[in-house]
Amino acid sequence: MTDPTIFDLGAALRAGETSALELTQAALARASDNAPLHAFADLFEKTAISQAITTDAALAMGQDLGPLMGIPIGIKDMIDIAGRPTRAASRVPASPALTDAACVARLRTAGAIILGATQTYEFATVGPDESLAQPPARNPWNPDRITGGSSSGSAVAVAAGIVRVALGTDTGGSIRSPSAYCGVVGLKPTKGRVPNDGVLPLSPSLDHTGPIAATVAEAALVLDTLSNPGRKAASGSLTAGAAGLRIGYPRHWIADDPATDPAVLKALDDAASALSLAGASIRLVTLPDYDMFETAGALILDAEAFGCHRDRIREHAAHYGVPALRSLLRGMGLNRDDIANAWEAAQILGARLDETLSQVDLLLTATTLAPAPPVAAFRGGRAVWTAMRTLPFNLSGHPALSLPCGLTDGLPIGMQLIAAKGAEDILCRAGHAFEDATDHSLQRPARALP
Amino acid sequence: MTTLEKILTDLGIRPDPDEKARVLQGAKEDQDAARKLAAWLARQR
Repeated sequence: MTDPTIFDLGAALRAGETSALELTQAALARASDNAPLHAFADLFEKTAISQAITTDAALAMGQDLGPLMGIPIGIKDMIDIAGRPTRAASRVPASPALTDAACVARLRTAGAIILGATQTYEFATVGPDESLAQPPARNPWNPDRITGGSSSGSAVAVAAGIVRVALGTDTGGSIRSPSAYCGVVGLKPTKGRVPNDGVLPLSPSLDHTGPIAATVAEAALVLDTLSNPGRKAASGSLTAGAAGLRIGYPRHWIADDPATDPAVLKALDDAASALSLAGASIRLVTLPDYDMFETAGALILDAEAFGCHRDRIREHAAHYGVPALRSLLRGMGLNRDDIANAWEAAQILGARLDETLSQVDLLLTATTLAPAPPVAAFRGGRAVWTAMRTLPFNLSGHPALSLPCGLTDGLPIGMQLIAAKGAEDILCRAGHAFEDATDHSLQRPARALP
Repeated sequence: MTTLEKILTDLGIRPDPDEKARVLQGAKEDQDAARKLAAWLARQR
């Protein structure tokens, strides 16, 4: 039996078969049952229950705010929640936020219940770091494997079935890689579609806020709630199927990289076949070398991250975890010419993506080139390279969707679809069609840890 | 003192020698990557 979706829960709520209070209490109970997964940095039991009671009263009076009303949601601890310090998993002192981040305010307006702050890698940098004040989130598929990050707790909360959706942030893959490693759906929107006001910056040029969800339809629903006005609805053509979609498959980005796990390449080939059988036309396309995308993106990210944290480091260096501080200092020696060059490269590479996406509707690639690596590899502050295919689309601003496309040795594999800017409707349509054509999104880990 | 070491000093950071070597190595890797990117750009122009 599959878990009820937000749409199922909403129908039950409106039929009087459940209440926002019951949904919230059940989510809190699941969070408690799964406490060893450390998905949440903070649970807001009192305020969530109080909000649920108010929601039930409003529904009883006929006030319906739409499909997210009464639905518990997790918020990554990089995103301001009024009255609470946004700690970002750090010991660096933080003051309580004066207001909700814009995305949280939009969720509240839609009636969502803010259940808690989900765990993150420190300041959305690197991890897992077991030396921080709170333990890192653990992968429900296998707690000895990393969750990916930095939106680790959001992906875990969804994968473990605590919530159907949680917010994440994504600067180089931080929504999509934990979604891939934890077997859930992650949607990085087009740059500028969702406001970042009230979100701790890491690299403002590359930062994106978006949903991690159990299904593409639920991710699309939340994205539409978060989006600035005037954007085409991500859920606008969800059920139109894959027929007629033209999908470019830059297979060389995966097949030519020695870091690729053969199971990931096979899963991607199988995904291309499944989309073809569902009516899409698949063609191999050639993109510029991945290395240059990553190099340009990493330079911009590192330079901006150092700029964002320089003053804080000067004041609180001793409070940072070693891996985060080491990561934030990478960009300290870059100069203005280096950054100008990186942006010039970004323009060239982004134009090539735009050109390819003028000939196809979507691109298909992997999210990560291997399943989640062992936690042990990261112990002692060791830096471990996890090969991904995510950063180019932070650099270019194209929307990108990660969704499950198989398992290997009991660990999830994630595929990634990319669309033209503003075309989240096509992205979600293809993702939904893929879910319909396969059973990958129905796979769930065993819940609570022993 | 190198430029990178001076930045660390200006930030008030005094890591132990091993950690300092790791931090400087990371920053140097970024500078090397910037040079590689500049060479690639020169070929594109």
